[in-house]
Amino acid sequence: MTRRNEDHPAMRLVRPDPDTEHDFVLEQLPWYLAQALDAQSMRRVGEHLQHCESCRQAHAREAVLVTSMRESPAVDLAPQAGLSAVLQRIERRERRVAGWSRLLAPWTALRNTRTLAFATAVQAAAIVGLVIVLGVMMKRETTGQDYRTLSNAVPAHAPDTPQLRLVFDDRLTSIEIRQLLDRVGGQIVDGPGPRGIFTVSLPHAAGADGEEAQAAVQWLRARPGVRLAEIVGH
Amino acid sequence: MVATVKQETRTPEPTPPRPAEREERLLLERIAAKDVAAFRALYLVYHKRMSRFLLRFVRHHELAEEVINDTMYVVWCKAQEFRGESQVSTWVLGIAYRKALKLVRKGARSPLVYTAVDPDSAALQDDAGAGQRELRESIDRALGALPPLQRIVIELAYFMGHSCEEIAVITDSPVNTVKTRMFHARERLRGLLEDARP
Repeated sequence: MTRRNEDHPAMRLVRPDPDTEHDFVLEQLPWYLAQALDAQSMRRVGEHLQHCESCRQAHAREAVLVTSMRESPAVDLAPQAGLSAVLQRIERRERRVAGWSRLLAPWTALRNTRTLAFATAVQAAAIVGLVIVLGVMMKRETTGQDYRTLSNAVPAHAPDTPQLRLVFDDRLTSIEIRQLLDRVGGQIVDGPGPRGIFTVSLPHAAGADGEEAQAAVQWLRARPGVRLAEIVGH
Repeated sequence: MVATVKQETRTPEPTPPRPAEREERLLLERIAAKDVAAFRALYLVYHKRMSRFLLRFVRHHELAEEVINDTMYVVWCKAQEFRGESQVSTWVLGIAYRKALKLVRKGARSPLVYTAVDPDSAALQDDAGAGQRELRESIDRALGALPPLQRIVIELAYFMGHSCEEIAVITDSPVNTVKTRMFHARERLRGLLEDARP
């Protein structure tokens, strides 16, 4: 029995309830028209349309839409320019990929041959060696042997050891500072403070009459990375 | 009395593969093996298909071209990852959809430049042709007035013939979301087309 037109799902503004045959058909109509339903649903919709006038009207209305959309002339985007652009992009990519492959080729070849076992053994030996070296280094560190920092404390500070007050240019690296201090035989005993002042002792000049300290100051002042060099207490 | 039929829950029979599907899969296999000739062939097939789909979506020629080229570049790079779980067209259009959606969300909008009708076409010179042209123009305007996500569901189903499940894969949405979008799109189209009637 056919429902009155205003009661028909096609006239409602809420999404159909697919539990009823009308609603099922109405929901499936776009895909029925596109022939994109499975065979069973195609049959079910087709049979319903044969005896339901309201659904037939909905079908006819949408068929006009589908036909009109499908008969629209083709859009005139020309493919050739786009194709050339993509092919160039692909060529660049493949060149990059080939470059990486060449770089990784020795490793890849190694992986694919019997030398893999040998390579693994070499790797293992290297790792063991590294572990031993690290172990030795750590042991030496804990005993404090031969490990120096820029600010190593002077072990036994003789009272007559001259000390220098130094300020380095901010651009100087720690390596450059160490090289400068090595040249004058200096050891940092304090600093850098908030103003960047280092206190450096000159153990080798202990007991001297100050000439060596003066010479060190003169030499340091002549270095471009040294902003201040003076003898403490002078 | 209203006949109520419970919707069957068993798995529907699969949609038969489109005739071109097998050929497209072969092309994709060759592309995975870095065959440039196969890529050219697939590009030309999909350029035509995607042009219209993307123009409907991004509504600008240059943007549509950009998305086509980006999509096909991804096809070249990822061809080996295609597992054949969906149709080739579903896979390719899914890539295009995601790229176009990014542009749409970025707000890359401009007036609709899509023109489906050539006014000089001989077929449209008589009265029937003129009527047809008016209808197409009304439909174009109505489609242009739809939100992009609804418009694209209409385009994928009505014009490209994709099933609801395929559209769900392409748009990375649940099947029910596709049905809801389709329902609202149809309602709005009907209203817009009725309003456009003289």
